[in-house]
This record gives sequence, structure tokens and C-alpha cells, in this order.
Amino acid sequence: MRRGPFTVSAVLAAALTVTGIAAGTAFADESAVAEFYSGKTVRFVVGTRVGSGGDTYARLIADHIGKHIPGNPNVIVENMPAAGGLVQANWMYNQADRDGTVVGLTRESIPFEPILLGDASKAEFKLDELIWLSSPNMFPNVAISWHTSDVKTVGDLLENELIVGGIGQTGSTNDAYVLRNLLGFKYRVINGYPGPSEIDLAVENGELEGRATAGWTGLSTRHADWLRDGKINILYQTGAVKYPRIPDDVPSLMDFAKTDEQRAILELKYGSNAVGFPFFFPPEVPQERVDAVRKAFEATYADPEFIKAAEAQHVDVFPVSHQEMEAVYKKAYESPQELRDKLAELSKPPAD
Amino acid sequence: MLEAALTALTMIADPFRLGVLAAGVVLGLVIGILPGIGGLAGTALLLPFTFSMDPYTAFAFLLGLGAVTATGDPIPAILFGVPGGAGSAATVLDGLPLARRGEAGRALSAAYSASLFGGLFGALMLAVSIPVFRPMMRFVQSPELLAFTVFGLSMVAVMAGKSPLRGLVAACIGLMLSMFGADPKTGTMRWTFDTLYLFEGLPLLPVVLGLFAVPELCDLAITRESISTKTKYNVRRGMVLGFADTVRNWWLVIRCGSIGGVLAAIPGIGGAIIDWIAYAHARATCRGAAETFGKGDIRGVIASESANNAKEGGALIPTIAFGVPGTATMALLLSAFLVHGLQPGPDMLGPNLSFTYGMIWSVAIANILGAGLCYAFSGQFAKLATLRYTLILPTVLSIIFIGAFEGSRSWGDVYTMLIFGVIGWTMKQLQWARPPLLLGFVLGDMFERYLFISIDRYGMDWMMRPLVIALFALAFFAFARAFWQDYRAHGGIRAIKAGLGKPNWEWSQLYSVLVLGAVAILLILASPWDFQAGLVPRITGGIALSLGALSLAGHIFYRPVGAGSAKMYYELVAQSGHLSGTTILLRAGVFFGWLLSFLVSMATAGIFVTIPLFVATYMRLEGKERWPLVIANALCLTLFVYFVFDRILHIPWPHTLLRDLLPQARVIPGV
Repeated sequence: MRRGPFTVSAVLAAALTVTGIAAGTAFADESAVAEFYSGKTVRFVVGTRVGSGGDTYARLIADHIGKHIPGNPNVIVENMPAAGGLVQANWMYNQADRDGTVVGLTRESIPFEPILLGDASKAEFKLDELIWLSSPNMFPNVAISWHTSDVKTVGDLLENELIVGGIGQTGSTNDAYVLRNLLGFKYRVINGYPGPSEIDLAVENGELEGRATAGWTGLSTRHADWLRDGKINILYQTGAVKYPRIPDDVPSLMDFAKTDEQRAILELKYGSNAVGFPFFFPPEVPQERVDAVRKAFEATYADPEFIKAAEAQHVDVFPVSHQEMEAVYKKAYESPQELRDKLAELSKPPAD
Repeated sequence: MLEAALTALTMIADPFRLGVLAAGVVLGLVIGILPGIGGLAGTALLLPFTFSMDPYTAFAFLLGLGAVTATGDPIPAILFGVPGGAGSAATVLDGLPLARRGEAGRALSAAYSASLFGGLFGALMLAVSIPVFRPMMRFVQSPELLAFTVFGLSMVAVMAGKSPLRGLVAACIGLMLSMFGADPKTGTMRWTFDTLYLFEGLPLLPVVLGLFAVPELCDLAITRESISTKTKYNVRRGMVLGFADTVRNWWLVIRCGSIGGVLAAIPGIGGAIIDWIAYAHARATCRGAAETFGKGDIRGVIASESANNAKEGGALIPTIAFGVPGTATMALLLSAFLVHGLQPGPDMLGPNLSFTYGMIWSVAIANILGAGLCYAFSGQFAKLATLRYTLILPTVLSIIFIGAFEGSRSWGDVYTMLIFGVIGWTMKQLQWARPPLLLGFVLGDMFERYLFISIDRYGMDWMMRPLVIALFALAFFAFARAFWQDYRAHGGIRAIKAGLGKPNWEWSQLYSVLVLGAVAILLILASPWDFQAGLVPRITGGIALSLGALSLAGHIFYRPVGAGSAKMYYELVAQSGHLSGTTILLRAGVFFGWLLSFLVSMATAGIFVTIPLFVATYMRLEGKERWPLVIANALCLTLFVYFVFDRILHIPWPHTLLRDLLPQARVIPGV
């Protein structure tokens, strides 16, 4: 073995120097970031209404994250809910300041819009150019049936019809159609309700028998009595990853996929469940500020005061890292066109 | 039940809680003075502060705040004809004429005493009905909701006044406007003109401000006079008179209070039409109303305001009993419930019944405090009506621009308000009643949704349900009565025949032609839609076209014989009758020019440059006001808007041209 000009000690010394420089740059970065944010106001621009789930997370995090961002900026929340959040996502991409003072929070479904709608989508953003920061939670969904219904399990759902409510063509309506076409779940959709709480009311007064998609968070907070008093059967959960709060015996929808293709379609469709509340920067924000804000999110999740506040508001925090978010989006965006076409085909109302 | 109610009362009567409640009331009044969703944004901001309070105190505070945000609305409605919120639009009809006669003090004090008693009665109704409410709601499914909507729509017949046909046309157009945006069933984009703004339909607030506020301000600019040149009574006498009016009409207050409370409790009816329904009810039942309503009858003010305040209590019911929030503010309240470990649903009527009563008492006490405070100051407020138009107009205009922008916080809101401002002003000038348009617009969405849901779910069986039959019968009766009265007023078939004759051309008929043309264009645009998405729009459009054509033909070929219809015109009459047509058009043009320049300036340099600039130039150019006054007004208004909307409520202002050209300019707020 030929001995080169480097000795062990030389290597060590070099390594130390490199680390030193690295630490030095890190320090310099941090102070530059602190200098930038000091005295500034960071705006959390939320693509949903005041009082929505996303808005609750945004306001909760905004209350605590300021002290974890170098320079301790003031953090405020603004809402831009128009067109189901699409206006906000487009605005973040096209118009928001790119200096790290504007953080967006979009709906979990918006990043998937361009893939699922194709040319019909009004999205103007390029997903891979947005800079993902963090998501404080997943978006777990379940299917439920009212206790008086014949359908108590997924097995029953293959035999008996379940009347469920829908809000337009997306969301629960689309879920019911796809699952009916793909797996033979006998959903009958009554479509056109104004919102999920009106559907819940219709379930409670006997007009409907259940929901093909119900957000777990809303269900467990707004209708805790349904769970406690055994008013509903939980048929399955939709995500590939089981949600810690959902009872263990509730099966995952993925368990009912019989072929690889079915599984791939379900994963494409329900991928958005894995990233519940995506916080992001517009493109071109300097890397050191991105790093600092990502760290600040993590520090906030660990902050005892934040945890206490979240618990007081009955808000779950099971953070999703930016790497996990990117992986979910990458997988969806790399899905083959045939699979997307197939999903679009399955989304059509059943013929009968 | 009684025990729970008493326990709750003693809990709320605690001096500290009462103090917190009063603080909420004062805050709510301040926020509520501004049009728009100030109450919502305010509640969102204050919500976290209530998490550390005990539940009774927290809800005393939140409900105190929420219950009175609409209490301030009658002030601009009566004084300037500008509804302070969607719920006070009906108050304008009689409130403004009263103010013009110099009776603003009486009208305000009647509005507040009616508000107070109506609110109390609403709370009482709520307290009594709460145990039966959950079982009752089992019988209110989609078909019943549809029937309520149809019943609400039938009020159009009463509101259309002199011309039922035109009223129906306006209502159909309102229905069509409500169908802009993604269709609730198939997601078809209807009349969105490829804009994102119309995805979720036209927002209510800019439409209401455009239809009702802009035309009044325009007429103010045309007549160039104060709303009222005189005050008939001194402060105290106005207050006494108004209070006496309310007491004298106690039975009306109770009826309208019940209407407000009950309708608000039905999820989906929404606050924007409750005042109209109460007003229409009063118009149909009060003695001599046909002659005096709309010309400054105090009973019109009392009817609409007693219902308006009673609904605050009623709106709590769906939230408490089912977790279905009727409004965005209620949605926030719902999250506050959860934070305090309160579960909406059966528990609120069982183990937590005393909390429920605590909330009812809070609303009742907040009403007493809020309406009482406003009542106490009503005489002072009344003096505002005598201010010169050059002082009022720029100030109120600046505020309604922001109010409209609150609709969905985009430029589209401002355009919408301008477009509906022009429509509203033209309608007012040509005596097309605006209320039916609003009613159709507000109820259209629910009508279409629940029609399809009822058919999908129940086939045709739903039509045989008792409540559906009863409400449909009432609706039919309302229409039949209106047409019968109209027919009779025209003297029966023989007189109508005799009235037919040679065509009679007028310029105003051109407007009908324009309206019909617009409807036709909308119908053509609707032709490619799929069957379900297009069904209701096509039917309403078809009805609008045929009735519109009939009405136009009547206008051209028919002249009533004899006295003709003495029925009131269900609308404010423009006060510009003494001016020539050319002057009116010219001055209206100038007014809308001012609006446009406000818009352009806001797009170029932002709201905080525009407000002082606009106020100053308007006051100087239109009225030659003295500089100290101009500067004081411009500065105060700008600072007020800056602190409330920018610093406290964090409104995301749209980016301006200046910012794009000169990025450094962003240090200026609002740029």
C-alpha cells in the first residue's frame, strides 16, 4: 500500500479544520438568519377558513414557533380560503415573498390536484419547486356506519347497501365511487350536502346510514359520544399507516386490496392522508432560512408549553418530517400515467 | 330543567363573570360597527384567551362578544341606508325614510328597544324549546329543509309589491346568481367564466353591500344633501318615542322574535333572510301596512330588528344540540366547546344542561347590555344623519370597500361590489324591487341541494310528508294571494282587457331588454352542462325569460285604467325626483368614477395610501371642506383602519402594482 502525503494526524487535523469551518459557517448562517428575522413579522398564510382544522394548527404553532426561529420574529396568521385553498397555493407559488417571511399551509388534497385532475386542474404551482417544511399531523380517515344499519363490517359492505352522504364530486363521493368500482363496496351516495356537519346530522336523524369518509380528528372530537356510546361501527381506516389513536382492531383499507394494482391505486388515492397539514415555503427561499424554520418546527413540537396548549385544545401532534412529505409527493408524482387514468376511470359514478 | 336553568343563572350572576361578559359585549360592539366578518376575525383572535377560563366564564365572554356584533348594524342602516351586515338590510327600508324625516332618533331607539325585547324573547323561546329540540329535529330531514326554503322563497310574492311579475323575475335571477360556481352535485363549473374567484360562487357580503349600500351612497352623491336637514325631536324625546313605539307594538315584537328564533334554529336558513321574512310577515299582517311600509313606518324597523336579534339565540341550537355550526362564528364557538371538554349533542341536554342554559342566559344578558348601551346612545348617533354628505360619503365608502374585501379577501370582491352597485342603483331608479333578488340569491343554493337530495334519497315519497305539505301550501297561498290582490287591484279581467292598447315606448324598457338579454346569454352559456348540473339553472332561467317577457309586454301594451294599483312599492323611492334625468345620470357617473378611482388607486399604491388620498380629494373637490377638517378625517380614518384591520385582524392585503415595480416600497403598509 502506497503511503500518500497524508498521515493519520494530518487527516485528523484536516477533519478538525473542516468541522471547525462547518461549525463556523453554521454559526455564521445562524447569526445571519437571526439578523434577518430579528424584528420582522412572519406570516402564516392559511388556505382554509378561520376555525378549520388547519387554521387551528396554524394558530397553535404560530403562538409558539416565534421563540424557536433565530431572531425571534413576530408570527401572525392570515386566512386565504377562496376556491378550496387553490387560490392560496397559487398565490404562494406566484406572488408570496421569497425571503422566508411567508409560510403557507395548504389543504392535504391540494398538492395532489394537478395529478388527479390533469389538464382540468387550475393549479398554477409546480409542486417540486415548493419547499416543504413540516406537517404537525397526518390526516387519518375512517368509514363509519350508524349502529342501526345492516352494515357492521367490511364483509357486510360487500353484501348490503350503505347509504352515505357526499359533498360534490371530490372527497367522500369520490371515495365511495372508487371503492365501489374497485373493491365492490356497496355504497349508495346521496350527493350535494353543504358540508360534513350536515352529513353527520343526516346520519343522526336517519336520512343517511353512514359516511364513506370521515376525518378521524373531527369524529373523535365533535362526536366523541358516538364512539363512547357505540352509536357507530368503524369499518376501516384509509391510510397505509395506521393512526395511533384509532382502535387497533380497525382494519386498514389496504388489507382489502387483492392485487398489486388495486393496492397501487389505493396508495395513489389515499397518499394525501399521510401528510395532513403541509406547511411550506414558496420557491427560492435561501437554504439557511429553510433549515432554520424546519428546525424551529421540530423545536416547537418538543416545546412543553406547545404540548400543553395542544393537549388543552385536544389537538393531536404526530409530526411528519419534510423528508416524509417529499417522499409521499414524489411517489404520487412518479406514478405511471396508466394508473392515474385508471383512477380517473374508477372515479366515475357506478352505472347502476 | 328548571333546576338546571336556575343553577346556570346563579353561575352567570357571579360578578366576575358578569364583568367578563360585559367586556365581551363592549368589544363586540366595537368590532361590529364595521361591516363584514369583523365578529368572526375578532372571535378567532380572542379565542385562545378563553382557554384558561372556566367554561361558564369563557362562554359568557365569547357569547357576549358574538351576540352583539350585529347589534351595531342598525346604526348605519338607519342613518345612511347602508346595512351594517347582511342581517340588517330590511331595516333600511323604513329606517332611512324615518331618518330623512328627521326621526332618526326615534327609529334608532325603536330599533334598539325592539332588538332588546326580541332578543330576550328569542332567548326565552330557546330556553323553553331546548328539551324538545333534539327529538323534533328527527323530523326535519332534507325534504323539510327544502320545504322551508320554498316557503322562504314565497316571501318574494309579498316583497315584490307593485309588480309581482318583476319580483319573480328578480328572484329567478337571484337563484341563477346563487348557482355561479362549482355545482354541488357534479362539480360542473357553472358560469365561473374561467376565474378561480367564482369557484365557490359569489360571496354574500359584496353582493349585499353592492345591492343595498352603494345605491344609497350614490343617491347621496346625486342629491348632494345631508340625509336629513332637520331633527324633529331632541335626544330624549326621540328615545322616549321609539321606546313607546316598541311597547305599543309588543305583539309584533313577540311574533317577529319567534320568527327570528325559530328560523335561526333550523340549520342552513342563515341570518341573511330572517329580517326579510319578519318584515314581509309584518307587511302582510299589520293594519294599513300596504300604504305606509317602505315610507317610514316604525313597525317595519321594529319587525326586522326584533327578529334580527332573536336569531342570535336560535343559531346556538344546531351547534349545541348536533354540533352543526350554522355560521363561521358558531364553528369557532364549537371549537371552544371542545377545548372546554363540552361535547355537543345529547350531553348538552343531559348532564351538561346547566351549561346550555348558561349560554342562553349569556346571550340574553349580552342582548340587554348591548342593545341597552346602543339605546342609551341612540340619540347621539342620530345626529350623524344631519352631517354633510361630503363628510359621510368618503368615510362610509372607504369602510364598505374593506367590508366587501372581507367577503373572500380577493379583488373579485371589490369588482363584485361595484357591479352589483351599478345593478342595485339601476334597479332602484327603475323601481325593480331588490329584496327578491337577494332572497333568491341567499336561498338558491339550499333549494337546489335539498331538491336533489330529496329526490335521490326518497324518490317522490317526500312530497307526502306532513310538514312538507303544510309549508308548500303556505308558499302556494302566499303566491296566490299576491297575484289575486294584483288582479283585483287592476280591476279584474275586463278592466285589464280595457287597459290593453297601442304600444307605449319608454327608455326604461331598455333595461328590461338588457336584463332579458343577460339571462339569455347565461342560458346559452349553460347549454353544454350535463343534465343534472344544468337542470335547475335552465328552469329558473326559462321562468325568468318568460315572465320577464310577459312583464315587458305588459309595460309596453298595458295602461291601468282608473286609479290603478295603490299597492306600495316595496322599495325605497329614490330621492332624486326633483333633478333632471341628465343631472342624475351625470352625477351617478361621477360617483361611480370615484369608486373606480378608489379601486385603481388601491391596486396601484395600496389601501393605506388610497384612504387618505380619497377622503381628502373627495372632501376638497366635492365639498370644498376646510383643510383642518379634511386632514383630521383622513388621518383618523386611516389610522383606525390600519390598527383594526392591519395590526389586529391581519387582513392579507392584495399585492399592489407599486410593489411589483419597486420592491422596496413594501415597507409601506398595505403595499
